Amino acid sequence: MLYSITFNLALAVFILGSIYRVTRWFTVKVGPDAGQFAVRTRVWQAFKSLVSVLFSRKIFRLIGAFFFRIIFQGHIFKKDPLRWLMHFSIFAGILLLVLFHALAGLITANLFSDYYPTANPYLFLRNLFGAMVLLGIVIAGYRRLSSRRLKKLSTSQDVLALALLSILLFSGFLLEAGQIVSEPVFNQMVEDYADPGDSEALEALQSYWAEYYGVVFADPPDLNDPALIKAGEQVHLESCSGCHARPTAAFVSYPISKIIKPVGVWANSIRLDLILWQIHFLCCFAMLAYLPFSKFMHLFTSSVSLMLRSLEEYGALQQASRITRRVISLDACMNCGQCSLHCSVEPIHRALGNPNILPSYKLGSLKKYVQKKPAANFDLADFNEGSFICTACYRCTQVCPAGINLQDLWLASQDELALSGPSAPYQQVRNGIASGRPDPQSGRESAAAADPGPCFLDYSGRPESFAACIQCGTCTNVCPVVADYQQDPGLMGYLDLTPQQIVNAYRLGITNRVLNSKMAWDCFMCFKCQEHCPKKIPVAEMMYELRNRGYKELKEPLKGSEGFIGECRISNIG
Amino acid sequence: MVYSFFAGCKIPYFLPEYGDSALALLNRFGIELLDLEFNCCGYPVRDIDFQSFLLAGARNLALAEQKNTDIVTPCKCCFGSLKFVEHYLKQRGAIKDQINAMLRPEGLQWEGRITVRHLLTVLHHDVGVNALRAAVVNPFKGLKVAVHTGCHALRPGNVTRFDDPLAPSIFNDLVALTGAESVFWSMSTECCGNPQWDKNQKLALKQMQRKLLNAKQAGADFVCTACTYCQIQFEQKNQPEVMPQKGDRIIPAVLISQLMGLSIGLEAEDIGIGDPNRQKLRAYAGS
Repeated sequence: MLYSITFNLALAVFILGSIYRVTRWFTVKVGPDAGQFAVRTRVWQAFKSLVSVLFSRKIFRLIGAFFFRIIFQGHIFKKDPLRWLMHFSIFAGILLLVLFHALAGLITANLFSDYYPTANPYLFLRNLFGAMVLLGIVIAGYRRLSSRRLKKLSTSQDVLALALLSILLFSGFLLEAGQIVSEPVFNQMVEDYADPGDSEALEALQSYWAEYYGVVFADPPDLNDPALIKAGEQVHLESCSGCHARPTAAFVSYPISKIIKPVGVWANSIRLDLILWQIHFLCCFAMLAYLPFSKFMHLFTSSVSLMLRSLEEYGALQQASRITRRVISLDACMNCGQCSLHCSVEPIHRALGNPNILPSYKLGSLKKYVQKKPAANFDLADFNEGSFICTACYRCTQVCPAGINLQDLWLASQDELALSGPSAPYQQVRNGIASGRPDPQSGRESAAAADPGPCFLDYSGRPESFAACIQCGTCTNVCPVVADYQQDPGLMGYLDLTPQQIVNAYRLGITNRVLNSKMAWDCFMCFKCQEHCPKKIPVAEMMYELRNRGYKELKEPLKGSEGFIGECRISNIG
Repeated sequence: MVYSFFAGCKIPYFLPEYGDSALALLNRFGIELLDLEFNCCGYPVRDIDFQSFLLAGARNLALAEQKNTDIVTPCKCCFGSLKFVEHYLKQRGAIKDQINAMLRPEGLQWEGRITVRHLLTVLHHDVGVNALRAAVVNPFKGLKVAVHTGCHALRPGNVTRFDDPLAPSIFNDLVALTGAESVFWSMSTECCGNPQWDKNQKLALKQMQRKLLNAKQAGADFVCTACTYCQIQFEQKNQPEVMPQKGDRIIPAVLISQLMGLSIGLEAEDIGIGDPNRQKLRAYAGS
């Protein structure tokens, strides 16, 4: 009763959850071009593409991807055999356990007429599959803990996934061990397959099973009588051996049963086997219900993503399907961290400390961003900064084992942020918008935060860098920006300052007043001014300093406003 | 001769033909290239945070130093950034130590034993003008090329030490030995406009159009680039409909590695020259 209620409940949650996840593929909008497609269009387009692929030669590409990437995971093997061993062990172990153990009544029993869960090879294989998962979990845990960078990338979801899997697995092994030592289970089997009335034969069988099958009896049979054991063997051969192999084949559970053995009588008296049975099944059901919302869903979503990747590489996706593809991408990530380990701008994350610079974290933020509602651990300004520091180098897309097209996600989210989000940080600085975060460094681990050190541009604080300026105007004369503005004022508008005037602002100690000047932000950084300067003033690098300080003020607007009044370096010059 | 090849972030997705053609060209002259997993050169964050810029650059230098190879990059912005970091840190021991401290946890260090080269210098100095000239099998005839020098390799000259910053000649020499004529144009050493593309697009386009018109007036058929960003600007952003002055596309751009590649007989497909530039260049090829 309890069993069927919980099972049906879990199944219902699983089915509804899965439907919810798949429905979201067609309703969530990612990217500025997503709004133009109605849900109906996206479903219809996906259906059409599916049909057209299934009945074209591209089907072979899909079949290839299915076997090579989804079943064998060859693309992971090529990159890192250990990672492959970890993943393949868990994947194959779980899959085989689900098919031939959890669904044994449906599948195994129909495939093999001699199927008994207690007979070999089923007994042995169940342990083997479990051991495979165990091996995978151990390697996964070791990898997450031993690699400093991977450890940092791990989230509570990753820990939870490994923990749940471990509990499920160990409850299974313990259950089998509990059943091995269990006298009640023995009695039940006797009732089902032998004659419980024959007390002489029963005693013999008890001694045989106590000796060779590890059963613990409250009233222990005499194991020093070889004749009794011999007699037991006869009974065993007649009634039991046909469908019950020696538990030594259960090479994980049997050693565990040896550990239970000393307390076997007590364990049997409280029916430990039944308690473990309930725990194991409840764990399974909990897992089933949690599956659509956990990273285990990637078994399904990553497979879909890998299939799509094999089509996408050949430009087979329609535009509406590309939007749908983005949502599937967000779903398919299991936070393995490969993208972040190979990210081109990872060193910049080290200096700035914003986790959104790393793709695996940023993808999580993008998931929250597209929901368009407040979420925990989501900072729009950080997500925005991370999005624009990305150089779209394509490497994360190339290394992603789930075939996620991260490149498309980043280009789409950059566009969307520029149009309707906070926009590119430099646009904010140019327009004098401060994002309003009084304490940007709180809770961050960053070498830069820990030690600001001397390596910030500080020409304004060092008069020797600009004191030699004679205001000759050479910098302005060679400046292409000045020329562009001069040639077509109607189109370009008015350039507020020239490079020469920027240097003069340094001389006057009023650099804070030119932080958001057009000149500082329209500069091409072509270094012509600096190259041609007769006094070797680092004019272009001063522009960089102004921009760096502009960004800093964007992050620390409160401190910035203090500086605005505070910094007057006239005394330095005089 | 062994170099570590620094493609930079934009080549793999936005301009793969530059990577392909540069590799094909260098391989053709027996230069061995290591493929290390470099990170961003730092150029895009030089605006944002100087320390990030230094760290990103220094990590690349350290990676190459670990393999005991100099870096060769086809991108002038990558080149300029890495050269600046090298120059800056060599002069400032305390900051170098600070940056090295940030690299140490992953077992990296930069002591300044290796340096950074640009594709053009490797071709001009290492392969050598004579070897290149000897390899030319399809010299161009009557092709006029406006050499776009590119800013960040040239300037600041005391940092990059690439060529004479006021009267550069390396690039011209290389173009000339393909048989093409390098025309004189007054805006040769000016910016392509790309640094403002995602900041002030109007300005980026204005600058590009001014340059391209100047090149056209000098009689050029093509602008020749040796920088990822410049080529992206002139080939991909140069769309007549977005230009300040409407009209036809002014002139197309070709990469130096493609121009040289064609002249030494590499296949157009292998060096990523697409139509219609391929046809246009073929018309001048003297094979």
